[in-house]
Amino acid sequence: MDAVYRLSLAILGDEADARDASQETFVAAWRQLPKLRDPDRFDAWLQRIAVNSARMTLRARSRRRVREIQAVPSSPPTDDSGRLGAALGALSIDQRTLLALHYLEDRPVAEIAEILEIPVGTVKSRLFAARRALDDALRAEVER
Amino acid sequence: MIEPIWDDERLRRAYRDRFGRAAPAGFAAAVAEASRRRGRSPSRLPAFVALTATLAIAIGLGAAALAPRPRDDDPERRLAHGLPILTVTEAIAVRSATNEPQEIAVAGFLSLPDPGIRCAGLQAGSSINPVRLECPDTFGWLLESSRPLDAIRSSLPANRVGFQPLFPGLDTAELRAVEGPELPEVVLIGHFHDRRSRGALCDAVEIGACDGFVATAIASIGGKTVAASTVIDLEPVAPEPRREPVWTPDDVDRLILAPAPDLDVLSRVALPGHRIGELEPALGTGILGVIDRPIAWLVNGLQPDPSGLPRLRTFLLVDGAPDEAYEADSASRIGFTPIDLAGPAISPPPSPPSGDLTFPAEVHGLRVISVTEALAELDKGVGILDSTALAVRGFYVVPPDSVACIRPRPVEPLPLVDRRCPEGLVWLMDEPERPWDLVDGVARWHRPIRPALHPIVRAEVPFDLPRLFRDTIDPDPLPVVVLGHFGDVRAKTEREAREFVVDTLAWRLGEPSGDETVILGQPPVEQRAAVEARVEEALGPARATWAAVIRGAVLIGLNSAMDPELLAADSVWQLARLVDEGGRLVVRHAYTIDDGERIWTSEGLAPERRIEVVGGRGGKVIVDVVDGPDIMVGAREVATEEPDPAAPRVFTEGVLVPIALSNPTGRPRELRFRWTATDCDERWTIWLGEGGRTIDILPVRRPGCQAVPVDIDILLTFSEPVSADDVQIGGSGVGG
Repeated sequence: MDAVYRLSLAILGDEADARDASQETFVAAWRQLPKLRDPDRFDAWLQRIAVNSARMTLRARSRRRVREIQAVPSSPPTDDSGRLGAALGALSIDQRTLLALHYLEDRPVAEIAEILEIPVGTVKSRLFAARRALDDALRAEVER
Repeated sequence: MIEPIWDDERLRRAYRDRFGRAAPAGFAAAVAEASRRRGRSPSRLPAFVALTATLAIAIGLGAAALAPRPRDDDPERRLAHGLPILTVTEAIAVRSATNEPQEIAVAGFLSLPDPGIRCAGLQAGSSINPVRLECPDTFGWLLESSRPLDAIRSSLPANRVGFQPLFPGLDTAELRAVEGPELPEVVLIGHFHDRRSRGALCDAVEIGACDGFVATAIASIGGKTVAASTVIDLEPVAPEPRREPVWTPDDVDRLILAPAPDLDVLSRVALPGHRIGELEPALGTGILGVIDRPIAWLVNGLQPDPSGLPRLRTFLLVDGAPDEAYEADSASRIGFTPIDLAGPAISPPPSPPSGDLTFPAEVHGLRVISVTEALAELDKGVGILDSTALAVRGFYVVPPDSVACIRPRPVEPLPLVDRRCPEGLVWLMDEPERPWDLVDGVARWHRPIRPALHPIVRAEVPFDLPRLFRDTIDPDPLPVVVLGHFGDVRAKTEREAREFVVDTLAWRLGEPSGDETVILGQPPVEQRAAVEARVEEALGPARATWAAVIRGAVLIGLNSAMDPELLAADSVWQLARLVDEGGRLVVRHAYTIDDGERIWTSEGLAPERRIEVVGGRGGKVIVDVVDGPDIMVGAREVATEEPDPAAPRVFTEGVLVPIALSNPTGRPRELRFRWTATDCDERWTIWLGEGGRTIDILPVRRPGCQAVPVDIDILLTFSEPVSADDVQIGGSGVGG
């Protein structure tokens, strides 16, 4: 359960959204359990649902007419954790998903390919691009 | 190449610092509540996957806490009867997260009701439902902790975790014999959401009354394993006499293990038939007739499941009557389906196929033909409606886990044809193919490659296959000769259905067969020979006769205009008679009430033909053909690949929709009908009038329906030429 929440948070960057997406993940997983043919792949199957739920949550968020804004502009983060959080805001959801699966969940490329249902070569190239985009965003954060 | 700003390790650390946190407090409960509120997949879940995921989801154990497959050597999780032993908290989570009666093993500390407790206004055992929580069971608890309860109470203090167990039909003597100040630690096998707790027996306003844990076994007490429970409770309700069982518990086990060889028997109960409702309320109404039997046995056991957890199976046996056995089945309207127990405990299995297995050339004066030849007859439209008898040789296969479909027992209403086997998996084949692939020990069935048809075996047809054929997932197709016909309102012959209605199994394994009298109603008082003699006196001789005793009420399915006297009879002899009619052999049915005088014949059954047409957009329409002048010999849907250059006559006057009629080129005995119906039409009926030249066509329509067009294209075959030019079509209807 924590793993799903953690992954959702890394993709979405927002605790409330991560909570919603995680809940959607478990409800969807429970409904789709009959489709799970191989219990040994439960983790990958659940993470695939988590990624999809995060995407759906992001779409729903983009449709919200009222968004919360901060009254006081935040100061630039000074630690790695804060810089990472801020830099990820500049990445696409697909890039955030790849990076989270690889650097947070320690998933090898082959497992990421299984979770995202894309070829291994595609994972490699997209992961490379995502890492470069993150570097760019981190540099921007450091220079703020 | 540009160097990354952070190396991988620094990035991973930043990720962990930023996102490596636990889900918020209360999140597990919110998910469980959301799952409950928003429902689940209605399909039955693979048992272990369901449990694993339920626990992982509802209580946050995570998949790793329960390995995907329970193993005896798993130090993290003890097993009882193949089930991982859960704590009381985990069991409650399972209860919350599913409505399925998933069998689980739970360890806890048992606090039984005080023997001196008084239940105001109630007598123990007075409930109409064995799984309804009533006093004194409301005072019993399976607790998470060993601390005794402060007082006898039917609700728990806020700081205690537990649920209320019930022990219907279980021997609890060992539990009650435990003495001492400490609560005994027990492991119970059982489930929540018992199948008997549904419907009127637990109304919505009191649903909690059926929220108890229904124990099916006491696995251990204080770490000591408890043997399977046997309860022989034969005290009758006065003034019934007490009866003693014919079978011992060992006999019962042997009988059950024939159809379920891997069953882990948990409990057996013997009780007078008229008390069956105490454990199976649905049967207390008299359905299945068990209340009229002296003694019934109920057996619970766990069936190993290669793909998941063991599942509970419940069997009902009538003592001394191996032909009356049932298994609890939630898919059945009455909760039980018949099973076949005839086997090793009662009679030894026949020898494997041996000796001369050459098919006979003739049975009962009929030339034995191949499946290919039979299908050619069907395609010619000959004998589709007139019960022309065909003797067909071939190799018979049936899914081995559906043995009940071979000889169904009387279930209300008696099925007209046996379709309880997965439809389309029973074959009579020209060659001894194995139309299945074994994948991980599971047979996956497919259509035979060579010619084959579906034999339809009605309940009253003797069809005594040897056990050895049923007890394997990889059987040898059985060489048989079946005698039957295509023309039957209960069979489908269009498209790929190719159903052949079997009147008897004439030959199997080198031996003649079919002499058995099948008794599906009350046992008759009249001898079969006497019945045959008086039918023969009235109707003349038959070349062969097959007999069954059925309940008259089931004949309503054949003809709603059946004589009420016949319908009301408890025991009706049905004689299937092979008779010579104008040089061809046909099967006619004669009916007579047991020990009665009157005789009815199948000629009185309306020779209707039903065709089910499924349109390209999924709409479905039934077309009934009523053949008043007895001129039609065949009726079928026209396949899309059957072009016909003949220009049709199009009728628009006096009909609801334009109807095209033609004689296919060179086939003057055939009439092709085409029109467009909608799936709002419950059915269309075609009444054939004089000589097939006056025809009425009318639909029965459902109101308020979103219509999907369905193109009807059917072909009727007549015993004599009928020119489309001579036909008059109307929509007035002759039958209302």
